Amino acid sequence: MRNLEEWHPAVLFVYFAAVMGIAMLNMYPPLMISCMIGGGIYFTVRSGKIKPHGKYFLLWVILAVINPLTVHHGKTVLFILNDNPVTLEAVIYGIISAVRIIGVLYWLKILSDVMTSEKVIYLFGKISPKVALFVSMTLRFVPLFQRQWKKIYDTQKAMGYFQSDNAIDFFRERMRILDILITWGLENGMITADSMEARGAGTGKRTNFSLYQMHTEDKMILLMIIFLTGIIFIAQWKGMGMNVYPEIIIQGETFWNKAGGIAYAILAIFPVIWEFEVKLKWKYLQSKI
Amino acid sequence: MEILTVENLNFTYAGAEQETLRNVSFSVNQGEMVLLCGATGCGKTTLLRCLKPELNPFGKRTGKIIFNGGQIGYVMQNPEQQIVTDKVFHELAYGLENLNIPQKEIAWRTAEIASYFGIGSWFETSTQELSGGQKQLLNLASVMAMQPELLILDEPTAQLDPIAAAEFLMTVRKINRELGLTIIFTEHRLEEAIPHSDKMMIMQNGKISVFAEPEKAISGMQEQEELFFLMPSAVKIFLMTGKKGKCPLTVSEGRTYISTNFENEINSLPEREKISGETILDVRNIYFRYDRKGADILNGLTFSVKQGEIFCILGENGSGKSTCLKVIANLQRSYSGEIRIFGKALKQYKNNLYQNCLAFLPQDVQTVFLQETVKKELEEVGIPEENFPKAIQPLKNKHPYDLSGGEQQLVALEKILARKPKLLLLDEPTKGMDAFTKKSIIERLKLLKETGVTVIAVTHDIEFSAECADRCGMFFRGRIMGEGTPEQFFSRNHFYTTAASRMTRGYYRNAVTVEEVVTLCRKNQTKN
Repeated sequence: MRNLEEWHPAVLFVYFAAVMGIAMLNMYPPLMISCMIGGGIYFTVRSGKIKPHGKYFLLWVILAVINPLTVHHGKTVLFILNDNPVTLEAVIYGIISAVRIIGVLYWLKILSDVMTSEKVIYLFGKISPKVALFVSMTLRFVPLFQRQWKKIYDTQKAMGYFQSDNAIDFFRERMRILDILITWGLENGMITADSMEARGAGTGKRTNFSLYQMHTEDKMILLMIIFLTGIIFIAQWKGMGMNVYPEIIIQGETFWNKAGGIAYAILAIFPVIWEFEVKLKWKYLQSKI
Repeated sequence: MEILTVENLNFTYAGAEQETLRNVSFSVNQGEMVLLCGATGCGKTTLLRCLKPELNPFGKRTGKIIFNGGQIGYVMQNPEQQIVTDKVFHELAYGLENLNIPQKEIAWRTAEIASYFGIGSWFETSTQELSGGQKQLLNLASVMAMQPELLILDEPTAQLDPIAAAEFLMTVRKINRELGLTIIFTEHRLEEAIPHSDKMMIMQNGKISVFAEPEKAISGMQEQEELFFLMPSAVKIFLMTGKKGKCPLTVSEGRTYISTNFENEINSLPEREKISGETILDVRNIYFRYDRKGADILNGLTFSVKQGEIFCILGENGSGKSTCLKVIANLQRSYSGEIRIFGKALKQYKNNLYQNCLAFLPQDVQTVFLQETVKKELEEVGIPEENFPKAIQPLKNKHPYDLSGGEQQLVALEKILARKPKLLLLDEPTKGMDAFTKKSIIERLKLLKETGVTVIAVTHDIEFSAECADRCGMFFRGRIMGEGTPEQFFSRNHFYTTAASRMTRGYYRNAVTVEEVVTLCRKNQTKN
């Protein structure tokens, strides 16, 4: 019933690792297409935007064209351009690898949207609570510094001390801000350190608190991901994949090739199915009320 | 039952010659709320830090501190810097994490504490999105999550606006009453703090001079003492009119004190003179918003200011007061309307706007400083050492960041005045300032006024504007709703007005400052 971003962070992490990891490892064309279509549709469903697709398409064309122009391996020469052979293999490799890159880009975009800082901290916390605290503090300090920089600059400007009408002044003024900003940071750090110490920092082992709970649903999803990934790995071991240079070799339609392709397609389209199921369930629930 | 006993405590900072604490002895009972007060630099913070083992200052210490309890909670002045983590819930859990308390227990305790302090609705937000008052409440809550048996608060409301400060103090009092928690706190807003405290400890030069119930502590005071300035209006009036009967602490007690002791045959004072210079700032129909889709922050703002005037803009938080100054200072651009400064449109000024014309002092005065010492800071802008004002002389070798909020404001004001601005814009000039420093700021501004400088101050500080403004404006939802001389302004307002005015409402007609009330009291006959 919960949206994708409400899944347990570990499940989310495993899911994205599986979808993107497999796409990076194996170049079997059906996998690449599933990767791009799944990512693209889910991206649209989430953001409700169609515009960015144009940008991605353009990028896809560029990537697909660059490969045959720069790589001249392969045995089937299509034509000669500027004394360089353009091969069929390079053209196909370009198209497929461009699909792969665009697909992974879609997934990365979704990932950065879904994996908020807390989730990252939680995952780090599983490894080391100290690292988790460090990440959390850094996430706080960076925007704090940015804001203070802007404030100091505005103040100095409004007092009339900063003119910056030439490059040397411009540079010098920024150096001075940086200089005082370091002092400011240390000063702040001292108060923060006091506040930490006053609350028992460094007295021994620490827990890492988070708001996440592993629900049954999460466990089911995790099992499914592991199962599908397992099938894909077996398929790969049985020879699913593609060899491009010097000659395109794709194994025929074996059982494992089909199984691997279908498993990955389910994996990649899963968030979209999930999204619609959640929406449907809601509608159903509300109509009952 | 005593929870804390201090015996003959002496403390000298490492490298310092003089003792900061001298022969301090006192004991605090379980469940008491003790207010520690004294002028800046008298050793309040040092004493408080000596009580909390983790924060003990470096130096030589003799004497005994006996604490019969578990945890000591400590909340400091700066709301921002005390926060360690990036999310509210994580901040609440932080102390508990350090104690290695299991997950489930933390979940329980943070939930409980969030409900008690009303934090539930912003439990998962980023700590940097909170307002100052919310941040300080979070600091208090995260300390309370550790279940301390003694709570120490070191000027917790210094950085907050008066409304948030009053709310914070109410919360602290609520904890004290409902949980029976022992609290020691320092404050410079004694107007609100004294009625909330069970006992008052007055510190002078590292010694405790008085430790008693507030009424008793104050009755022993003299009018000339440096602590006099820190006292609530009712107490000031009591001390200045010759201490008749029991000392009033709150507004209602002050009212009774005046009406039972003084006649009201003469019930008003002559009006202050109006400034009649030429108009130097004309703001007309200004509209401003930060976002294209956002709401208007300035909504048809219109006002004008005359040469040599001190104009105070008062209003609640988030009403757009600071934004208004930023727009006039050309740091933000309005999308509609016109601003004329010295008869010339703001758009026609370029960089020369800040050359001998206008200067803007922001709320966060720390951003003014770029040097290592106050002396360098002021010498750099062309003020020779011998010309430093008297209040700044003792501070000249310190780092600007080591000064108290009020002292920083004084130095910043001096630095900005070196530009010889004709129009000075001040954003909360009395924030974080004790009454003593406030006095010197007011004097400085009045001196400036005589040299023809015009001042526009955005402030929450009602007492400050009653004392030094020529005109006050009420800012509400992006524009000025009403304006007038302090007498008109504050005697017309019922709620948003000075304590002195609330005390004499209906009895005297236009007394808004303590001095005015005292003058009227003296003019009238005393009742028997």
